[in-house]
Amino acid sequence: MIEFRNVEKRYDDQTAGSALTEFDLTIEDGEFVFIIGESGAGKSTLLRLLMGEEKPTKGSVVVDGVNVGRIRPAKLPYYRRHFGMVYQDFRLLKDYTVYENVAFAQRVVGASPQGMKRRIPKILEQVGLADKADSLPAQLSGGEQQRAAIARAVVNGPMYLLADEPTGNLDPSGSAEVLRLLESINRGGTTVIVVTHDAAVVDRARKRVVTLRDGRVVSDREEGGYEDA
Amino acid sequence: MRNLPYMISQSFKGIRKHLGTSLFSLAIMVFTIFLFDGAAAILLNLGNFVKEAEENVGITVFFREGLSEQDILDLGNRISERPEVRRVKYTSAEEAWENYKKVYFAGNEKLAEGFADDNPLANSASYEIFLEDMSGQKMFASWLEGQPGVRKVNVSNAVTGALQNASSLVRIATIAILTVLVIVAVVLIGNGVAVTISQRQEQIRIMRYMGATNGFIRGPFLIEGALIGLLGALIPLLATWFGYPPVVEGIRSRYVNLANIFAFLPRQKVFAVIIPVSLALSLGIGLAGSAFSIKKHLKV
Repeated sequence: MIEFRNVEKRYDDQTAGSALTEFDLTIEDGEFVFIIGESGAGKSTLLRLLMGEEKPTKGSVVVDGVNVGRIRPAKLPYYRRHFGMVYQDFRLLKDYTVYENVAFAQRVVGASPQGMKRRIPKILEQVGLADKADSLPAQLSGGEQQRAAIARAVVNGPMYLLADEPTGNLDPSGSAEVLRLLESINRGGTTVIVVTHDAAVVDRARKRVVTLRDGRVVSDREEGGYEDA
Repeated sequence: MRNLPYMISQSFKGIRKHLGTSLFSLAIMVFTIFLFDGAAAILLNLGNFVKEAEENVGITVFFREGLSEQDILDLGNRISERPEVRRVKYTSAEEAWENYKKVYFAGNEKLAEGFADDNPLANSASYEIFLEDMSGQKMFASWLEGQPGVRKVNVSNAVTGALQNASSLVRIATIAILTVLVIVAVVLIGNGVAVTISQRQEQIRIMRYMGATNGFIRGPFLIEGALIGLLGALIPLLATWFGYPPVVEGIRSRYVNLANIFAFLPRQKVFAVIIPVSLALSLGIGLAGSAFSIKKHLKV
């Protein structure tokens, strides 16, 4: 479970990020949540606080009972392993094949070579890229690249999948593929949090939608749509 | 440990990606360690010469004319009782003449026979004294000069003094040059690692989000520095290993007199010191370069 308890985040430097004020949000395990809002509403700040990259100025971010702001730097990497991250620009390693990109995530957490050989083909199968394992990212379509990035994000079996504008660079069919994939991962028990501007995706999914404005939650609806906010 | 092969392959990738910087660092490393190896070989040999000189060159005491055998014996006992004395050797006038003949009439023994019944060194009976430690030589000599029956004290300070001077000169020059080179090598290796770090910023950011530990992120950069360091030691070590015997032979054949007095250290003895110290030095330089760069450029 993720809880933002009366969080306040201020930046001395305005360009460093958007502030959060009296921010309360609870996300239960297994949920699928869209976080929407204009740029500057505080979506990125929310992700940074969640990943322990920033500490709240006031209040606390609590994940599975652990106060994220109080995690010691040496322990932070282990905390982050509970999360898988997906980005708008995919952030695949350019000179690594799809397989190597996914293997990289396993290597980071010290997975055994045997475990990797078992797990990676399975994940690539799941995201529909089994036949592209040896392709470089540049040889893939946008949707395929994002699916490779999702495979990388979930290969270590995270509790939470954070997707920051995952369909921002994709055409409608690519977006639909990615959404289907995120939903299927969610059905497997992973909590999925999607930060997005993509009204079409939000409307189609009919999931919980949390709307931010000026660093506050202004609406929080189950089975919401983009315009409902 | 499981990730070591991965980290090493990453390090090689880094080295290849900025090959120019890497080769330049490597060249400086080779030069530094080569200088160290050469200087160490010279210093070890000079040290050995000094030690040999201390063992072989003693103080010689000649007696007053007409000193009785008993007096000579008493003097010998007084000398032996001194704590700084390791060994005392008596040379009679006859032995002195025999030795002299061997050296100066070598091949012309007949010439020496002219002196057969009239030992030219009749008054040259002596004690040759070997001290535990050369440094006490001067004081001991002045004590000797004050003893009754002593005519003359010969102190062979010159050779060992010169050797010790040469030794400390080489040492100081080496330390000075090495200090500069080590700093240059550390900076250059650090630069190479900084280039790799800047080329991998994106990868490092992704790794962090994936939960990579600091050790995992830093490992390849540390190994990159260590690899250049160790490779930089290997080349000069090989060069010195094969270069040492011909150089020693060259010195021996050019300075025959020197070669008769001093024995050069065998290669194994020199390398028993040079190999571990060179490797430690080069590894230290490589790791220090990487560590500085990581501290400066890799925000955790």
